[in-house]
This record gives sequence, structure tokens and C-alpha cells, in this order.
Amino acid sequence: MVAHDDGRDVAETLKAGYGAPPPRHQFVEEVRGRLRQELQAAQASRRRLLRLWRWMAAAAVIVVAVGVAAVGFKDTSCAPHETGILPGPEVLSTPQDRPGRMVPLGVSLPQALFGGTPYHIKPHAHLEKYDSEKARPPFPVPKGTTNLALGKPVTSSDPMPIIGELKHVTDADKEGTDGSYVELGPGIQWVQIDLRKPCHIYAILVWHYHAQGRVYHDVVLQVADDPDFIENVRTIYNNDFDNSAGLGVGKDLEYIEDYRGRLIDAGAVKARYVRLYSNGNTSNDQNHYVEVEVHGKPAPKQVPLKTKLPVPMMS
Amino acid sequence: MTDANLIRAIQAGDETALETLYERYLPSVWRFAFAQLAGHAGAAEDVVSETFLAAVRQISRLKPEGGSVGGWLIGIARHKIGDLRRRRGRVKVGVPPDLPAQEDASHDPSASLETAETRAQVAAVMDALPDDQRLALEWKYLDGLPVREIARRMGRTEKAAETLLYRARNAFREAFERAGAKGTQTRLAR
Repeated sequence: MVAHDDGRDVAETLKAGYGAPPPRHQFVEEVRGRLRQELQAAQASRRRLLRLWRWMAAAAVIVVAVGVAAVGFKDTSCAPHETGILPGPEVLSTPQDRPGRMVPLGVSLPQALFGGTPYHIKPHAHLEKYDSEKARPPFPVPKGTTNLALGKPVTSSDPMPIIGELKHVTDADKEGTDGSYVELGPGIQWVQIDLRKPCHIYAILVWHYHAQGRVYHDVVLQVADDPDFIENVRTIYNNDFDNSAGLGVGKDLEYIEDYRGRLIDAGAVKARYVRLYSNGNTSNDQNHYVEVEVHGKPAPKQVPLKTKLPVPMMS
Repeated sequence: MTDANLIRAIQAGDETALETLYERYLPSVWRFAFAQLAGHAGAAEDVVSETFLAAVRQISRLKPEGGSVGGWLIGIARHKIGDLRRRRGRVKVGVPPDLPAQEDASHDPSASLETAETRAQVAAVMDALPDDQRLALEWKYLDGLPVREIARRMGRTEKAAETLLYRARNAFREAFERAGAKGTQTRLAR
């Protein structure tokens, strides 16, 4: 007969080892007040943004109407347009491409180096279902978005790579053959790209290795404002489902690498440094990078507002 | 109210919903920070306030059905703790730090190393559990909530919450005993 499990042992251990004195009442109330203020400020900001958006939408309608009137109904669908992104097979811009518009992200894909489903990788709950045929849906980015990582300096937790050089990560060569990738040592390793200035990042594409179907473990992507990842660190992607990398449990799924690379939605996050972690793969313990692309735009410099104090009026 | 409904309400500007969320998750975030910072109440206060403020600033981007709110808050707290450690130098988990007594009056300097190690082990085990399991254990065994309330908060049936608790208990025992086997700690007495 199985004894009833009332969890008393767990309760006792938790009380002894995880209990904490309650926080100070004054502290709790202070934070409560600050949260309320923060929510009110956020709501006010949201209302302002909404008004601005409505105003811009109205302005855009007027601009389009004026443009149509000026150009007539001339077909411009074949006119050259600039996306600022490497052209490639997935292209890209639409006839509706205009300044200030969203355009599909253009990504130049390398040659596929293997076909079909890699059956040596067993499916599990944390692995994304693989479909070698399914094309990636268009990913909209603001017009003028470019690959900011191209040619930018790369540093790593493994400064002496086993194969290749760190510059391969941002050299635009994503063919995946020998000589186009860098191999870092076993275990958790990272590469870091310095974008040279704060940028708005919309999408990050990573090709770890695609000459063979593999799954790289603990893929974590973070951005920060400083090279040591101290200030304002934000995690954009994390598929470390068991926290084996120690950066927290991630909700994203592991995936099988292929020539399409992995597109990660960065949601216009503003940062200067991009860091990617991995922790070996299904074929060996090493870590590889063929290419990393960071698509975005340099963030405009923030000019402090010069406000003049109102001069008191004499009555 | 389920977490997803709370998030929707906060996104719409409902201050009462924000208060509910704060009261619901304050104990959990506080315990996490307190455990990770080896009982430094002052540092834990900094982490907790920064965590909730960051959460409110980011809440408009959160998908209500996108996962565990508790896990999201703990994720923010984890980063805030990382920032704090880097700013102040390493504060090791479970090891009482070399801080003057005045700096943190609530820290108990007489705590034995063994107690500190046990706390560190429990903290590490709890940190490694999936978010829903960790929260279920905290709510049930530290906050004393009935299963019905846990189920309501998580948007699950009572049966599902019972199953979650069962799995959480087993996962906790297994991980704690594994940690104990590596170190010097005693096993759970069942």
C-alpha cells in the first residue's frame, strides 16, 4: 500500500531552507506607491503615443493622397528601391515600399548542405518540429534596416578558437563549409558583437553550423549597453529549458540547424552589444558560428531637452 | 482572477489589478531575492523594488497567455541580482558576506555555516525547478494556500494543480537529495 504523501518533509525543508522574514511594511508600501505612479505614467505615455500615432496616420494619408495626385497612377512596381539589406533569394521589398514603411527583411541564404530530416535527432518536448520545406514567413522591419553586425568586432569567452577566427562570425560568409566558421571550446561559450553605437535591433539571425543537422544546446541571446554585460542586460532568446547554462530557464524551443539559420525577433530593443551563448550540440561538445547578422538601425542620439523656466509675470 | 486576466487588466491601466499582482508575487520574489543574496534584507529590497518597477514598465509587451508571470518576475529578479552582484562585487549564495552589522541589521551573523549551506542548497534546488513547480511549492508550503486557490491563480483545474504539486514534490526531493549527495547535507527525512 502506498503511503499518503502529505508533503510534510518538503514543507519542513522549505521552511528551514527557503523561508524568509517578511519584508518591512514601510518598504512594501513604498514600492506599492511607486508602482502605482509608474502605471499612471505608463498610461499617460501610452495615451500620448496613441495621439501621436493617430496624427501620423492622418499625415501619412495626406502625403499619399498628394503623392498620388502628383504622380498620377503611374505603375512604380518595378522602380528601384533601397532596403539597405543584402538582396537574396527571400527578397524582399514590396511595391508599396516607401520611406517610413515596414518592408520584409531581406536575407541572403546560403546553399543548403544537407537535405531531409536529420533522423539521428530524437524529438522531445523542448525541440521544435523540423520542417525542411517550410519557408520562413516574411519578417517586417522598418525601411532602411541594415545588417549592423557586418564587419563589426567580435570577442568571445574562448579567445583562442580551435578552428577558424572570430571574424568569421560577421564576415558575411555563411556558406557553412570549412573555412567559413569558427569553432569554440567545449561547454558554455559565448561570442559578442560590438555594434559600435547604440542601435535599435529588429531581428538577429544566427547560423551556428549547417553542414549537418544539429541542435545547439542552451542557445541564449542577450543584449546590453556595456561590454561586460552589467548594465541593462536583456534576454531576447533562451532555449535553456533546464537552466544548465545558469542564465535562467528559457521558454524558447531548441531547433535543428540548417541553411536558413535562426531568425530571432528582437522587438526593436535598443542596445550596443549582442552576446550569444551555446553549450555544445547534439554531435559534439564544441560550439560553432558560421555567421551572425544583427538587423537594425543606429538609434538617434538623445538630446537633452533644454527647458526654459517660465518667467513670473508681474501683475 | 487568473494571472492572464490580471495582466490584461493592468495593461488596460487597472491599478487594483496591479496591487493584486504585487501582493500575489511579492512573497515569491522577496524569498527568491533573500535566498539568492544570502539573507541580505537591504539588497533584497533593492532587487524586489527594481524587479516590480521593471515589470510595470515592460508589462505592455507581455502576452497574457504567454507563460508564467511568476517565472517572468523571477527572471527579471535574476538579472537584477546579477547586476547587483557585479556592481557590489560577488556576494556568494549561501555564504554570509563580510558586511558590517550596521549595513544590514536583519542579517543574522550567528547563522552557522551548515545552515547557510542548507539554505544555499535549497535555493539552488528551487531555482532549478520549472517556474510552475516552484510557485506551487511556495504557495502551498510556505504561504499555506489551499490547492483550490493555487489552481485559480494558475488558471488550472484543482486536479491539474494536485498533479503539479505531486510532480513538484518529487522533483524537489530528487534534486535536493542529489545536491545532498554531492555536499555534506542530510537527506530529507520522510
